[in-house]
Amino acid sequence: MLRPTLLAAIVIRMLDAFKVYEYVYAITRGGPGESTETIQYHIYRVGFLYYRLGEASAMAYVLIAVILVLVVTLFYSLRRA
Amino acid sequence: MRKFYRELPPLALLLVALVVVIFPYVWTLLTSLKPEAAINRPLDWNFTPTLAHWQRVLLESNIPLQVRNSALVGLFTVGIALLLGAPAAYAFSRFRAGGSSLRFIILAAQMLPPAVLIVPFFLIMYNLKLLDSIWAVVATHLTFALPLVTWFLIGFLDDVPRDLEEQAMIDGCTQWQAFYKVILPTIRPGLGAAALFAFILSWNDLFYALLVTGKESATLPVGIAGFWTFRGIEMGQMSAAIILAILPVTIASFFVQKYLVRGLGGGALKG
Repeated sequence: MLRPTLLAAIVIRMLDAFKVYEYVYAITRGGPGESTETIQYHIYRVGFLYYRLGEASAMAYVLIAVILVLVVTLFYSLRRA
Repeated sequence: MRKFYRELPPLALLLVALVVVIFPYVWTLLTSLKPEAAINRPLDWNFTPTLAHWQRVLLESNIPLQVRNSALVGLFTVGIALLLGAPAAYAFSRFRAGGSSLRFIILAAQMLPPAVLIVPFFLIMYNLKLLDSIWAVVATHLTFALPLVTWFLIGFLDDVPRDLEEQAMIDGCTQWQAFYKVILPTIRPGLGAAALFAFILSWNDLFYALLVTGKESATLPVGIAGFWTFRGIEMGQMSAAIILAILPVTIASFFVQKYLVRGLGGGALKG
């Protein structure tokens, strides 16, 4: 599909986008209600503010699954590049 | 003269980029010097500068303690990461440990979002009674610092020819002595760059530090976030603390920039 290097760059930036927490915490704290939350901020809020650690763990597990798909794509494209 | 006109569009673009990048720093510096009334007028240059915010941040708040905590956490993280990461990188580079896939799995460990690991870390630290200590933060920072340092050093170690340690062993060293006395001094700039990069990441981390520290062991990002009080955001003091946090990292980055490109290539770049 895309050239492997370009694919690697895109996947690396997508992985970085999943890690966005500081910006949400500093600017809107999740926004009006929950509208500007990222997944990491949501795990933080559910796990440590509402203290539902089980639910937060489940969310983290789903996040791992998504990250795994991206990481496998990344390694495939790094091998090809 | 014509050459000047041809170079004008790239120069203009560079100028715009420079302004966009420098503007937040200049704005923060100005905000830390403005009296409170002037902070609400961001583009107003006509104000009498005041040192009250800097005085309150440096003398009357917890920021110096937090700077000390951040420095200690960074130091321990980098120290342990180098101690464990350099031999690991040597094993990956020289002995092909783990075949061709383990080094990529280590890279994946560094790309993991912190939220994935924070719940087990929190519970473990709680049960070990380590919650409000430096070591909790060091342990959590090692989850991204150690893979990063290892990945960096694999790249640098691949550039070192194998003859170097073979000659050392012919001269009578054991394998370990060859590593410690010959190879490590050769990659000293790589060690320095990896250490600095890991220190910068540890210094900037907010997520782990926020959830695993308390009042005693808070690090600098936690302190900066703490200026968002129930009375409102204390912009002047926050800006002063931000400048304090940016300064060491900016100065350190200047020294390491040319190694960052080389290290991130993972050994793919030659020369």
